[in-house]
Amino acid sequence: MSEILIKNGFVYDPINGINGEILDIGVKDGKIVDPSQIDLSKALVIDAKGKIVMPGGIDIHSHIAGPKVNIGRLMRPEDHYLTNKPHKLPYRRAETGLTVPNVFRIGYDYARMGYTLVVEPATPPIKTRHTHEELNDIPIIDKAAFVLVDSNWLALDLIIEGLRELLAAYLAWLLYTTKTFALKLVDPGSDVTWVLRGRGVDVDEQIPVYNITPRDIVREIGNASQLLNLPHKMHIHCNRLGYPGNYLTTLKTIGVIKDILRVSETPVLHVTHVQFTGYKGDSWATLESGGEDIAGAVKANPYVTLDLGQVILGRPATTMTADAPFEYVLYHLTRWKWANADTEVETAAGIVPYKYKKRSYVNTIQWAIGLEVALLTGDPWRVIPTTDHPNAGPFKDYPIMFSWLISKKAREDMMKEVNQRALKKTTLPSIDVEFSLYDIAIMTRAAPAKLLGLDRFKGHLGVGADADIAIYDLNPREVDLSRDYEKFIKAFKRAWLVIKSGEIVVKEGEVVKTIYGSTYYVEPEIPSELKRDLDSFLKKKFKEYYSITLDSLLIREYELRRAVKIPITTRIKG
Amino acid sequence: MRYVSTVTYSLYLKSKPTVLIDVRHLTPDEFAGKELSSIKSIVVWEGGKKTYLSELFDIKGPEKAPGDPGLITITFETGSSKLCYIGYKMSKGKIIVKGDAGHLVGYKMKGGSIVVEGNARDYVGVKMRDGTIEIHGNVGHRLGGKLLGEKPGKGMKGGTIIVHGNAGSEVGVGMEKGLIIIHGNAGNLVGSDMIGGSVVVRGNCGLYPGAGMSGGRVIVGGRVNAILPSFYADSMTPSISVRGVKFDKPFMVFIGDVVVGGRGLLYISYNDNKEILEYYKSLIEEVSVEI
Repeated sequence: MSEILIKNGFVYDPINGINGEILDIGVKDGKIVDPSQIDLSKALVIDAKGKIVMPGGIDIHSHIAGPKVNIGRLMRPEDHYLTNKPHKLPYRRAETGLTVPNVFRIGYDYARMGYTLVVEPATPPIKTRHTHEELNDIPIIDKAAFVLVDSNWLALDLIIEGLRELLAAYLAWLLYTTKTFALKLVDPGSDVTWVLRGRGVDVDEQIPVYNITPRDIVREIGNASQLLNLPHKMHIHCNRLGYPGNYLTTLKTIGVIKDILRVSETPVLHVTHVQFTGYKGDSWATLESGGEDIAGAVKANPYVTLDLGQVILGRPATTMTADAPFEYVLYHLTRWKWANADTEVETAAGIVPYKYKKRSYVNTIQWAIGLEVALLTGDPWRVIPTTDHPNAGPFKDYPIMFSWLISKKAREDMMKEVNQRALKKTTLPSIDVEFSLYDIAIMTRAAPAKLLGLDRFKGHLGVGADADIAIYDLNPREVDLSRDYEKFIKAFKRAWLVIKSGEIVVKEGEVVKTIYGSTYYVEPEIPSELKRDLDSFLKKKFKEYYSITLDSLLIREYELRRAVKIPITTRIKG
Repeated sequence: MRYVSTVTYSLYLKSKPTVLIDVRHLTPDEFAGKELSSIKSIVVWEGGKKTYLSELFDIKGPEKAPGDPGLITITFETGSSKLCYIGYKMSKGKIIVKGDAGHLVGYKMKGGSIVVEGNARDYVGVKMRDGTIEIHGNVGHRLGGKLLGEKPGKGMKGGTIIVHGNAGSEVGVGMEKGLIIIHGNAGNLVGSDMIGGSVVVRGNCGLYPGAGMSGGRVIVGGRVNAILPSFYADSMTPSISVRGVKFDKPFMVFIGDVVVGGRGLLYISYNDNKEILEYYKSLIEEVSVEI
């Protein structure tokens, strides 16, 4: 592997506190080293004068793989007609698709934007083998997946029996077995209710048969994740997503963290795509923004983090979520196509294509909520911009979303095109906050790396970090970003140069090499005594509930293209 | 009145093609105002490979094309079922194919006319806005329809398609406006998902005409294999005339498809389908007796 020296760039590296200083970065054997260790006689020297140098971007929530993505591809042939791009072997494979792109385009488009680590946030345990097969085929970027535990019958059984340590051991086993990174809760408990009663539940409603509430599930899984000391504790999609008035449910869910016993200073709860769960009002006609209330709650609770799920207006989207009851409602609003699936004892999912329209009252409110939450919270370390790809918009539009955060003018230009009646119901026009480039570097690099607990080797450019570097052709000392936001979009859409694991993969916005990244997973250790209890519990329950045998669920390390295990010392006492 | 002369460009295939050829740029709009030499270098895709008109065709025609595409006629003297996208997005002028044509004839066509003297393959006149397409032979599936996966109403938006032979399945699927006349027979699901416009089949058709239609008219002058139960019989009419096509025989009028809350009209020839329609007729007569 060759040595690379990047000279004269404006470096933005928030984890190391570097804000636009001119520094040299040395790369050797896929890691970042001190520039003095580079042998200049054989190193490739890149002159990044007048350009921005950042660590590779990290997307914490983007549906890029799994059975639901594949069903989305199958049911949207019209997504592929005009988006084909033939291959250019041996550098690049063929690409297709916008909202549900093929695996190659996912990897390449992320790389073109300078992203090098992307997390698939929802995979049902029984289908995770498929998820890994797809993740294996996504080029360039590093990957990880979160496993769904929201309506897992085994977990629910342990919750009602009050066996906290066994629950923690079961979740640890599930993470290791499915080779996933963290626990994801989607609309806790609602899939049981959906299967049995054909509806969803609110956070304090009883779940049929089990007679517990989603609040109990969040609390118990939260406590278990603390016992396990997971790097990313809990990723939660709140109940009643998409219904007017659901901001109260989100506030209640955030309130659960006071019942959770913390073991470290890392965030306890990550509320995902908060835009979809921040609606005020009684009905769609009187929908209002709950962005201010959510921002207030986040300011008051330092152990909560958010990602936005920012709506991109005027683009098609494919909503796909494990929140099946909501997709059923959405299908009746759009009346076009709908897919629904139920995975035995674990979870359900729904897929509905949707288009966010600029002139729509509801869609404009949705657009404003995401930005209000980000701008009013004002803490880039805890608010991560995402579009919940492909639910609120394709990830391809991230630079446009960033432009709304860094430039009031960009927002105002957009506001001219949206529904004016809706705009009057939001506080967005009166917000003057503009994030800086440093804040963008925090939100897309440093904060997600910290949140995932990977900040030792991801999301920064310090010595010893992985050599994932993005260079953008934009001079922050000459361009006034809040006025010339178009230049910012242009630069961030196509990075000037992207280095992944020490290899140059993108040059001037074009993919020049196809390599494959790693898949991260955790292995929390379980005390041997508890392991025996767990084994007998699993044997009994698997026979009772599942259609497959226990051994078939285990995904072995060789099934992942390049597995990276993160061992975890847990706090379970056995 | 000023005398206007039309010019004709004749294209002869140099050899029998073995892969699909994308001739989407060979339209009067692209030819207009160009020298013959620059016409010869218009891009044509052979399979996945980019090549030029002069590589695949011999061309005969005047040295300079007139600026108005309406005065240009392009004649494919040798037709082939591999020639795809004939007349893509053309707005004026005329294209004649003396032989067979491939897929997607007149895709997104905006005006002018296309005449195919042989057969054409699938997706003829898909998403066309205006103009005329006349096919003397048979056509494939999804005549005047939409592409797969799109919403109802994304199909043909105007203009006329006349087919003298037979047509395949899903004629006029998802069409919004316009007229399709088939002088021969048609396949299954004629006019499915359509929201407007008219489809006239003079011959027989397959199963379930008008499935999922929410507007427009489907006229079947011959036999029907089956009618969906989601259509309800409205009345009998002694004869009908649709945009110049006359039928001097009784038709039964159905309204549907009620599954999508549709108000489309389905006309089925009574004399040809007595065994299916007798029962419906008795229903209509019973109702009229009660009133």
